[in-house]
Amino acid sequence: MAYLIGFLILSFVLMVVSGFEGGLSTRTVREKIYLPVGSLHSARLHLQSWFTELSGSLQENEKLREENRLLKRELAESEFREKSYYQEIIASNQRLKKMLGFKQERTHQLLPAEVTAYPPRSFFKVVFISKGEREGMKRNMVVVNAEGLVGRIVEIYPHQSRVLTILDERSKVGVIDQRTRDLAILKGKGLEGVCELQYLLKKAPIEVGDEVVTSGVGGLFPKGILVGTVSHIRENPHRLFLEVEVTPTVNFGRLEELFVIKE
Amino acid sequence: MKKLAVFAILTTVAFVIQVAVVGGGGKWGRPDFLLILVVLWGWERGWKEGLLVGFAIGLINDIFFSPLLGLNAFSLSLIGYLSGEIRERVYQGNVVLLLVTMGVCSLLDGFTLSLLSFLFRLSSLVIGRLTYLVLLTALYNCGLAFLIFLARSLWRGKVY
Repeated sequence: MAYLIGFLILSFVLMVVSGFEGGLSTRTVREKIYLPVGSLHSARLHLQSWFTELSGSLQENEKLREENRLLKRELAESEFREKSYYQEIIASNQRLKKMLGFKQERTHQLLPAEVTAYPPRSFFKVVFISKGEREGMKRNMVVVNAEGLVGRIVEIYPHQSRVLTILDERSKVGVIDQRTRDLAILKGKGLEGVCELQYLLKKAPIEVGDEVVTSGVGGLFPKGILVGTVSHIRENPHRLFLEVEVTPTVNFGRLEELFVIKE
Repeated sequence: MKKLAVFAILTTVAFVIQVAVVGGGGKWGRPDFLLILVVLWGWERGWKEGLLVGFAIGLINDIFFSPLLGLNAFSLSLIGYLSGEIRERVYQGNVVLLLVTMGVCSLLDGFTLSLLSFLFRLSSLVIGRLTYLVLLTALYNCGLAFLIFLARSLWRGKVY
């Protein structure tokens, strides 16, 4: 029992020390050893695609594969733009028709990146991507895929970055209901496939099935990126705000190719 | 020395399977090979080694992946100790007891991580963690522990 208490105290001390800002950091170790860890996930992805290619088309040559890869990337980028921007632009356009001199929405430059690793224990909802400081990544850059918003970069290494997904409880995103234009905060619940909307007043005419997009408020996330759809609304008489659940459009269990939005 | 080599190999295999084969999991959850390794090690070798192995694996995981150093080390050392302690009080060859231990350890792991994350302001939920994902992980872990137990028994020529 004394051994157990000793180890538990040691672990707790480590937590306290590393919990402080500027405290004990594992960043240096991670920077040096992430390459093999990242390679494991890349190996898995490559193995998967190798089997698919082998069964599908043995005759396919390298040039066609490369072309296919590029086309898929372009398609994913277009899908993202269509889902996240065009719907938002149409909705905005209807409201702005009556106004003169509105300024044109700026489109963003998308940098492709691949998921290199999921943490082995799934308590925190983060993923690692194949681009880092050397490729121009910075903290708080926004990460998306063809389906919508994935999260933002929270830690940078030379060739890897850690992305905090919107499912994580530490994630908070300013969002807006695309139909009703009600503003809210989207917060992760630490669970798969569900987030919650906070600070949405009871009088808000929100409905199940409404699409939720980033509001652009706060300046961290660009406006109009598709986040999810409202899946559940509950009105608690003892609370000031509605309890709203949102199902993200992104399938976080199958993240592969992502895009980082460059400012 | 041999024991250390076995530990290094099994830990590497568990990490490789978890990161490269199991991947993200998604809404159906995923098994936790690191936890399975710690529980089985404690079950086979007793609380002292279970504690050491749990701490070592937890610390490795913390160094690479956790936002807080010591978080997984705390949880897994507790589980390694518990598994070894239970083993010393019951009949080791009983697969049902092993599965119960695996299930209890999986739930305890979820609870401990949840509580510590709450204490260090990494999450706000405590009870929410013990929902379907933790239960699913416990279920997968028990299934895999059963298969490993069966394979080991067949290997040794004994089936209980």
